[in-house]
Amino acid sequence: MITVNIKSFTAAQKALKFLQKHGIRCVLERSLGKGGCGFMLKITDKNANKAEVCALLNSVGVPCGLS
Amino acid sequence: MVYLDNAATTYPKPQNVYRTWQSAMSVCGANPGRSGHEFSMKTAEAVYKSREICADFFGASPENTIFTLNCTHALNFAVKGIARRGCHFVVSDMEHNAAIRPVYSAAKAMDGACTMFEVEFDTEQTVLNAERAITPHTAALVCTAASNVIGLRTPVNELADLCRKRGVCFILDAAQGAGTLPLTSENADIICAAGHKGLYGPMGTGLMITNGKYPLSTIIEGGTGSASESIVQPDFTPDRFESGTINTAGVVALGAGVDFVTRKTPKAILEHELSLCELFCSAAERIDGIILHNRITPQNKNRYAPVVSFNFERYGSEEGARLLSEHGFYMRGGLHCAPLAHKKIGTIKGGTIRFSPSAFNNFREVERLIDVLRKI
Repeated sequence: MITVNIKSFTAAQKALKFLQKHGIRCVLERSLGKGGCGFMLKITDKNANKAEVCALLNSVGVPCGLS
Repeated sequence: MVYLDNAATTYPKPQNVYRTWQSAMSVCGANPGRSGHEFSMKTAEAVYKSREICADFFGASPENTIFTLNCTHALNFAVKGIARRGCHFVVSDMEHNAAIRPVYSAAKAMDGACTMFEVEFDTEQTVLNAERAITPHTAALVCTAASNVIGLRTPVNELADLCRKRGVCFILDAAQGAGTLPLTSENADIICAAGHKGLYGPMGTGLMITNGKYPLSTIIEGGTGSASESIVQPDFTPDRFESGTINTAGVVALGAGVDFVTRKTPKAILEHELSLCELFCSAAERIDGIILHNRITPQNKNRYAPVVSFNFERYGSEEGARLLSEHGFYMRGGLHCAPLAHKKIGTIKGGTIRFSPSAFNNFREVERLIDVLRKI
């Protein structure tokens, strides 16, 4: 499963809505990552690929912290 | 009771604002963005929804739409955030204390300086005055969108062009303009707005909208629910400026207020309120013993926000406002926290009574006020 780490809830929520708008199924969860508390987008859509997700996120100014 | 003190805070609020606020107190009862449980995440989603509504309204991105406690709070973030050692500020001669006090404080703390420019009725002259005040050290031009005392609008677009040309950050105090005047993040580098005035949100809400062009240092640091491993304040927004738990119910209800304004349109609200001001001015100027400090007419109304200052010849402003209150008309007397504007119009000693309608006032109420003014 593709997961995307995002520091801010605002950016994470923006990313979630944008990906969903583009038909990519995903869920947002709170996570404890490298920098401490943050958020993680889990891409549950099996058809999604990393390059596509990254391109979409970059287009709305959300850094693509794929893991 | 007829409430005409909307320049201080709008009342009543739209029904949807009351409903949303009340609902948010229970439905959004967890701390947003702090925990991973469903209640906290749902609350954070509601805050985000409001943020998105506010961002769309000002043509900004959600990340650059920062919730504050009020416009003063936002102005302090902007002014003190941009201040650097030896920096210079330019301010208009109509500023509210919410702007002028942080500017003077920041200039003093940074061994900087501040120059005031005169706002005139002539746009070109006003811009020229502002241009003359700018120096190579000017960090920001801080200016109100409209005077909270006499309603005179400043040439926001022209001042924005000037600031762009001179590489100066334009900080706009939109306390009296947000919700009626056409203000977007195109108009200024940083827009500071009250949530509880023309945006019809609850008191205890405000906004700082930035275009991200000018990095701001922080004046408040603390927990943001993000990047928690670091003891350094996050560099990403809105978290950078939203330390501590926000006024969640207020912020969610602010979204309902902005939605109300969006549906009604700022233009229609402005036209309605200016029409009430026109009626008030045309009738009040014919009453003996009433002094109008600004007159809004069909010819000049595009230069005004819906605010009219007046006085009784026989009474001081506070006494006059009290008499009107006894007759059921609620207006504010005094200096309205804007001594500069009062110096400008010669009312610094006695202040004025301020007539400021909202979308909920009507012509009949103004006619009744006029009848009362005639009797007093």
